[in-house]
Amino acid sequence: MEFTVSKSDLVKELNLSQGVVEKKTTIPILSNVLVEAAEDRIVLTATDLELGIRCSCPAKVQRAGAGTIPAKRLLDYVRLLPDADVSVKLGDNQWASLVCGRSRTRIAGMSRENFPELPDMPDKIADLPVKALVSMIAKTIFAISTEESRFTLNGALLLLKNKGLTMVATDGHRLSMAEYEIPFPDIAGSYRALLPRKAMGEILKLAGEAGPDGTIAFAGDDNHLFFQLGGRLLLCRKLTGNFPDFERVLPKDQPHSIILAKDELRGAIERVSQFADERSRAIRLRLSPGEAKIHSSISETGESEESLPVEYDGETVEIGFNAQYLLDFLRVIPQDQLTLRFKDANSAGELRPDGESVDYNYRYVVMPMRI
Amino acid sequence: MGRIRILSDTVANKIAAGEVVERPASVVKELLENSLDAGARDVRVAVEAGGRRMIRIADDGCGMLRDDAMLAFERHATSKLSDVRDLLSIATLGFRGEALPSIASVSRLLLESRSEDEESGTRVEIAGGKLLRCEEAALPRGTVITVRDLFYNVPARKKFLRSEQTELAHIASLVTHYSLAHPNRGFQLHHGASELLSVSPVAEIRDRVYQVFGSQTMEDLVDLGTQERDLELPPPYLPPSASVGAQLAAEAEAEAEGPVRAFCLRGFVSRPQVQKSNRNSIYLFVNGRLIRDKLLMHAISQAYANLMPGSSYPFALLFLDCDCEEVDVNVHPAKTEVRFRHPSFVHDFIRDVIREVLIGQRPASSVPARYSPIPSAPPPPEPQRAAALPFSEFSQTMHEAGYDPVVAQGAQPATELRPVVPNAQPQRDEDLPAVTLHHQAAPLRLGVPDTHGPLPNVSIDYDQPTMASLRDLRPLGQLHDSFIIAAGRDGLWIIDQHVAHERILFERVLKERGAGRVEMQSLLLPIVLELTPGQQVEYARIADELNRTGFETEPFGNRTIAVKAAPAGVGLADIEWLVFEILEISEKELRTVSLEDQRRAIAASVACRAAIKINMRLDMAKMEWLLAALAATEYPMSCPHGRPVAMRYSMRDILKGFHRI
Repeated sequence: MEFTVSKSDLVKELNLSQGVVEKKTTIPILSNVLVEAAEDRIVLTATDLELGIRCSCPAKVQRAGAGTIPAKRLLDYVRLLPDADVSVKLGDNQWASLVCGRSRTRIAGMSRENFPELPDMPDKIADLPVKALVSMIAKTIFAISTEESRFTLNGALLLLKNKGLTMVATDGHRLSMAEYEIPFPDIAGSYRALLPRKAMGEILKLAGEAGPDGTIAFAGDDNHLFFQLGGRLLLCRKLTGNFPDFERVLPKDQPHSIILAKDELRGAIERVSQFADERSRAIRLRLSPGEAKIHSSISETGESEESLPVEYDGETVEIGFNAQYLLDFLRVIPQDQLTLRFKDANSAGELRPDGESVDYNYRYVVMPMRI
Repeated sequence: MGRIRILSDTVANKIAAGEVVERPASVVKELLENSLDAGARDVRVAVEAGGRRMIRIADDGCGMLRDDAMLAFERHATSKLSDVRDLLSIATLGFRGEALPSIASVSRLLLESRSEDEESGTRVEIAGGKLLRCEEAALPRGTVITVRDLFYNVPARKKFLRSEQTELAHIASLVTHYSLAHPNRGFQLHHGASELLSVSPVAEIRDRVYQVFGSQTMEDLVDLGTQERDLELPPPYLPPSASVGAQLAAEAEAEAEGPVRAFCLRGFVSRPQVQKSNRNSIYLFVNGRLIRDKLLMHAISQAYANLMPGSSYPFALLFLDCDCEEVDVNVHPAKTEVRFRHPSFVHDFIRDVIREVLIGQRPASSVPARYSPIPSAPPPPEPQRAAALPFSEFSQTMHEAGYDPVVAQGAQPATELRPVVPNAQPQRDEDLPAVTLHHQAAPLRLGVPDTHGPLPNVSIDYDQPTMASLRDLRPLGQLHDSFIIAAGRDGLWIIDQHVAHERILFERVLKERGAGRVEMQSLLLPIVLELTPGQQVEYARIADELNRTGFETEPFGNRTIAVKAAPAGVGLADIEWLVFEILEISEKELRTVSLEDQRRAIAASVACRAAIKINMRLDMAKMEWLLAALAATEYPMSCPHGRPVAMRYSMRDILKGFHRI
């Protein structure tokens, strides 16, 4: 295999593969990137068996062929080269030689025989708007459980319906749901899949590279999900198991609702939570007519309280919350205002962004703490 | 003629011998106690063939008058007791007056004794209980008793003797015990030509422990000091002994000097990292008498609860002194059992003292090193061979395995960490084939030129490491994402991050629980658990406690419960596991124990599950927080399950390792 490629093209595509290449070298070949040269393109493929990425860029191919090269070493080196064309030659002995201007380098590669075969993308299910998908991921990814043993909660539920696109994530203490009204005329009924957290991060990266406009072609087979954006394909293994029945968790009966200014609330919580237990992060929210008080204390360390004016005339309610859970939401919404809906100290609280610019449905349910 | 007749003395003595003289070690015990009661300053024990062929005990005690020497072999003859009332306050080791006639009835015994008050001594020879000879002899002050051919006339008993090594081990551990109880006396034990124990009189128990066990053990021990506690006598009295008439007991009660009884505890206990697999290293003495007692054993294990795994035992050497009225030793002819008149007071006293001292000391594990702790001191004594014997009179199980004192003595902890530099092999040995030879050959010591500059000018703390220095630790990094490496004033510390966090959480959970303010996180969806019938029963019993610990549960149909909230910080995946574990704890062992213990067990479980695990990367801020929080805990040495938290590689060991001192 022998080809010449522009340095900047190569760096851009290699960058995308870095998140996928396996860091812990349990299987050595998985830290390599597969390079295939044919016609006037090279195709770069990386996988850790859970996730795979395939991207390509134009190149002058002198001799077609394929081989694998250590991904990190290749990128670290190529990145430092001057902006010029790089000629890559891969011999039968699996050594890759790179020549660029006056620089010459040899890197030991591995035969492509052992590189895992990635499945082909089946027929497209739908085209997803990049903007909506990115926004949904940002609104849910933080609520995914970090506990590895809760397998089905290590990702988000992606739900395509005839009239809309929904993404839901939960860690058992809170639930984040984002919904966009997008018609999918081709879908009869609904399509559900569990999308792993790592894949969500990679989609954000791909979308960042491609810009907010455009669509992602989405497909799925029995075990995999596919996202194609231009010449780049991301695929991942589906998470198995049953996602909790989120409809049942969404509160239906919440008699009280108040409107709060985001920045004020966020600042107040950030300050007060300095005096919350480091592990539980528990703060108290006390709502009484005309006032919302946020309070926390650690008996030996100190205590802190903030008061916010609100329009509220119901009975006094005090609810405990994990401050981190509230902040996660406040940090992700762009709107200046939000509504808090609640019932009593033992029932879930719900946060929603508020304002005219909200063209989607975003609900964030947080279970209370009892302190 | 009736069928029932009075047994002859010979037969009665042989029967008594069955109780008192079980094996050679029992002979040694009885004679040793006589010597100690006689006020001997120096006791020499010599045995042959594990005591089966010969036992000789020589002392420099008060000796016996000629008439007494004869009388001593009569049944129930004793100088130590005269009145039944004395039985309530026995201050001597022996008192039953059974030992000598019993021993004499099953062996060939030679008694040589001279009292200070007589010019010449007496020599009495008895075989199988028959007096053979009694003559005047020129003897030094004191008593020498030689027992030969034990059980020569009781073949059935002789058959049951164990191997020479086993019998010897029993004797050796017995003499060792007595030498510990009486530091102001000298003891020697010889087996044939070899010396097993030789200790000269010393002033303090501490010195005796050092003599017997050597410096290594001494380093691991914590001195309890002298702890006293008074018991105010309650009005109702407890019968002291079944063998003494009730009216006498009542009389004694009326005569008791005051309403306050003083208890005094001295001795040593090991740091929690010393963990033995059996109770052989626990030595209990009550008023100087070596005893075996379940009550005291329990008090000790209670003191170490949450500091040591349940199946491990510490080394302990405890001397409990109390008014003679407070303890009844007349329970069994072997006198290794006692009864306390106020058992729960004694139990709590011992438990509290040990626990307080352990917590106050906050000792840290040190990396086992081969060097002596005090540089200028004379070479520390090796442990006495007798102390290394594997058996004890108090062993719960006896092994027939051969005893090899050399091996037992030379046994070192397998995990010994020694400086590795001298044997370091070059890594790329294929490139440098010849170099390795140097390292294999006998080390050639060259004079080391001092080109390395002086030591950094810091005060190096050679004191016993304590966890108090945790406060000054500065984390350096993590080893395998599991252990925090930290630098302190006194050396290098390695801290198990999981265990450390567990200890922090354990104390916090207990505190929160105690204050009744447990933080709970409600769950979006209840976790439904199915219970076995056994768990169901337990659940019904502890549901309230479970609730107060932070698990909000409610029955959910037949043998099913729903968990609706859990303590904050407990991961979702751990909830199910924890609830089952708690049900299991209470099912298994805690059914009978106090609520307090159950609470501790639950707290330990919660802490263990909520703690950061090993194999978890921590940033510097987290490590600093962890060390600070650990230093603030009450007992930072071990986790609630007893694993040690930290190890220290002292500056001294580091300097030694680099041949700097």
